[in-house]
Formats: sequence, structure tokens, C-alpha cells
Amino acid sequence: MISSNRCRRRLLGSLMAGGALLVAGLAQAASPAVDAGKQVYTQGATGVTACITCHGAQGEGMAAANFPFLAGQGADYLSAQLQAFADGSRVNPIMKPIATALTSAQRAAVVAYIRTLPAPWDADKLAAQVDTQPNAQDAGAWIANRGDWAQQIPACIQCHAPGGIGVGPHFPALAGLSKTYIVEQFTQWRAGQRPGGPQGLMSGIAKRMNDAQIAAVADYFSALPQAASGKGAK
Amino acid sequence: MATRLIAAALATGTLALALGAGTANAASDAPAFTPPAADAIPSGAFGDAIRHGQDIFLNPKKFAGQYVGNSMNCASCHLDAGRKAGSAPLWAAYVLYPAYRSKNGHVNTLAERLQGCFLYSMNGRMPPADSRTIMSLESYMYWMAKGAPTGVKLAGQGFPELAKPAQPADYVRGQKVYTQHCALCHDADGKGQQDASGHTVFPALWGDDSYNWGAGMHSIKTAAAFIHANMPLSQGGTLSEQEAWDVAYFINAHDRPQDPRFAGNLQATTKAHHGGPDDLYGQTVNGVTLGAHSKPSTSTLPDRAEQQVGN
Repeated sequence: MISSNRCRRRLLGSLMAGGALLVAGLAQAASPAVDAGKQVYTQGATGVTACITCHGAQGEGMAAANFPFLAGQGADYLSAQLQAFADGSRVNPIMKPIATALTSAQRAAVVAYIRTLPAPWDADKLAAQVDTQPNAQDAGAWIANRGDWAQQIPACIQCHAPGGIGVGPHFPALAGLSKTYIVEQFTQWRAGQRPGGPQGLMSGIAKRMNDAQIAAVADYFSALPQAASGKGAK
Repeated sequence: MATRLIAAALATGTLALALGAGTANAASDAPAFTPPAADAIPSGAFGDAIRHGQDIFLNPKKFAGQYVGNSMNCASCHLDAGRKAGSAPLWAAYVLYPAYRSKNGHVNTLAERLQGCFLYSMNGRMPPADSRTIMSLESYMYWMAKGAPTGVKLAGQGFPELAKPAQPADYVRGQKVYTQHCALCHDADGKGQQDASGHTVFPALWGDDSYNWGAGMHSIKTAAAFIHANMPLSQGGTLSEQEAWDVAYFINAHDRPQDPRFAGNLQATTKAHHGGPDDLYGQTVNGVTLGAHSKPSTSTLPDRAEQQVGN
């Protein structure tokens, strides 16, 4: 508390002295962590493969190989995943040694760097995919937009935002993740191999969804960016 | 010590009896009803009206924006597009109108009841009774109530009423519940969350972007009932009744847009429309007199009503 007040006072001081330089000053103040994070992300560290290898130069992921995008995801979500990989509560043989080798400062830095990368989707086009009355035969579209309340399953977009672009620091984006990756997360939630997310929301929902629903929802969100750009281009 | 124990035992016994009676009544009196499947809206002109009503219900800002002054959706409180039992479902409301309401002291048509939703819960303005907005919403409700008995209170109607809490609802306990179970989505400051595209994903629970002091949800009792049955989303029924009362108190102990019936005098408005154990309007909580500095309900409305009347 005291130190954060001191920080604030210092910032105020530089504001008064620096005036128009304030924005530049803040960016500089943030940059050491971001730089360290960029270093880890692009070049790796001791015992750490560079993130760029699988998650792409812009954090866009590699959907064909089921490596998820990281750019655009909230800071708390990313931090929680690194923590869970390291402590083994999210079972993942590739990420476990990497997350374990990262110091907590490096984890924070790499999250800070990822947060500077632009989201790999067009938020407005995706949000425009909202459908209040999807085709009933398309179970994925129906659950994504309307849910299955008989099973206490809310519409995915009620927490992951219209178009599955995610919202805030905790609720991740879904649009454009590979189908295999999405299905695997549900499998892990049901098997207790991935933490249930804040307040256990996702493990509860995953256990109430059947295999067909999971596959359909995974289909829907993995194909959504394509559907969005198709509509947008007409 | 002994006296206290006996008193406690007596109180518990009485409470249990009262609860038992309430449950038995509700179970025997209220027939069950299942609305038509959500994907069974008919085609044709009437189907179009139903679907438009559904669109408004799920996204009032987009489809009836001229009447909406906050970030709430109809479906924020009426879950599953107004279909969910225990979440004030539309099929159960439809068959209970026209009805006398003590809120305004006269018999209300369904249209007037819907106008009230816009004026209070949506902190907006009333669509004309013969507008396309009201007609479409009525069509949606009518379709959903197909085959339900008229004038009968159906099982799942409204929000399931809670018995008085064991301990009076409490701000500090409520704050703890809020931090633990609600702030994740609705934000520590109650202002909700918007996504990168500017859409409200989690609605504001207090402040200028929430329901106003005239909305039913400002009643601690109503909010507690809604919360206990339905929140956190997908985890309805997991908070204890005490927790629901406490967090409802906490939420409704914050300021929100002014009651549209406010005529310049807080005491007069409190006397005419508020008061009672479940209503904090006009009371001072944490040094803030609730309603004394509320923004007028019309201050957040888009100024487009006149052009679009009849829509």
C-alpha cells in the first residue's frame, strides 16, 4: 500500500515535470517487463523453448497443429494457465516443463508481452455472427448462442462474448481455436485434468454436456472466423 | 442459557412449520407447464412478429434501442430467452394479465406491464402500447404460453420466494459473498463488463448503467429470490438463502438511476413509492443517501424516440 502510494506520487511528479511526455514515460516504465517477456517469447530461456515455436510470431497459434492462439487472451487467464501447467493441475506434457522452468517474474513478463500483441481476429465481424434463432439442426450454433438450459448450460456467448471473442481478464476467446483443441479441453475438465476455471464454472458445464454437444460446439467456434470473414466479404 | 436454547428451538420449529406449509401449497396449487420448443416458432407473418419479439428480448439495445437507457437485456433476469422456470418466465406471466398492481394502483394490461419493464428495469422510456415493439413482445409471450391455462399461477412463475433470512440481511456479509461469487463477472465496482466490440456481456448491477430505483429488482427480497435460483450463471441454487439475502442487500445498497416517479423531493418519493424492510431507497448507507444524487433516468437515453414511434 505504502509503496504503491509512493509509486503514484512518483508518477504524479513525473506528470507535472514531464507534461506531454507522460504517455511515453508510462510506456517506458512498462517496457522492461515487456522486453524480458519478448525475449522469452521469441528466444526462450534456460530450459524453456521459445513460445514462438508453436504459438506463432504474433501469438496467433497454429490451429492445424492444435496449438492455441495466445494473443487477445486476458492476462489473468494466461497467468492461471501457466500456473496450472507448472503445478500439474492442467495436465500437458509439452507445457509442464516449460512452465516449470519459467520463474514467476518470467511468467509475468511473457504474459505482459503477449498482451501487447494484437488479437488475431476481427472482433466486430465475429460479434456480428450472433444468431438469436440459429438453425435447430446446428447443435453447435444453438448451444453457442442459446445454451441448453434444461441441463443448466448457458449459451457460450453469455460468458465468452458474442462471437466468442472473450471478455475481460478471465474469460478467454474461443473463435478460431482448433476443434481438436476445444474437444480436448472438455475431455480434461471432465477427467479432472484441467482446473475448472474461476469458480469451477467450466468443469461444471463440461460435465453436463454430452459428447455430441461438445463436438458440435467445437465445430462451431473453430469455424467461426471463416464464417465471419465470408459474411464480411460479400 | 436454557431460556435462550428454548427460544431458539421454538423459533426454529415455527420456521420449519411455516416453510413446510409454503412448500406444500406451492406444490399442490401450481400446475406445471412446458412451453413450445424454442425452435418451433412458426413461419409466416405471425412467426416474424414472434421472432422480432425474441430478438428484442435477447438484444433490446439493438432492436428497440430508442426505449433502452442501460446495458441490461430482458434476458439478463429472464434467463433462457424468457423460458426458464424460476426466472420469471414469460409463459407464466402472459396468463396473469390484465391484473391489478399495487405498484400503480390500477388494473394493468400486459402492454402496460411491458412498458413498465422499459421504464424501470431498462431505465428507458415506454414504447407506445400500439408500437411494433410491444406488439412483437406480446406475440412472443403469447406463442410461448400456447396451451397454458389462463389466470392460473403456474409452477415456476416469478422468482421462487425465499423465507425471511435467519439473520437480517447484512452489507458486510453480502460484500464478502459478492467478492467471492459475483465480482468475477459483474466487476468489483458492479459496473459489469463489455467486450472488445463494445457489447455488454455481464450487465451492471448498480450505477448509472443498471436498473433504476423504480425497478422490481431494487427490492432486496426480489433480488435475493432471483439470485438464489439463478446465480452465478449455471450454478443456480448453490448459494445459501442467507448468502442470497446478504448479497442482494449489498447490491441494492448502492446507488442507481433515479426512480422515474421522482418529482424533486426524496422524502415524498420515498413515502409514496418506497419504504418497507426490503427497500433501501432514501436510506443512508455508508454515508450515501440512496436516491439523493441519482441521475435522472432519462439522462442515458438515446434521443431517437419520436422518429421511431410506431416501430
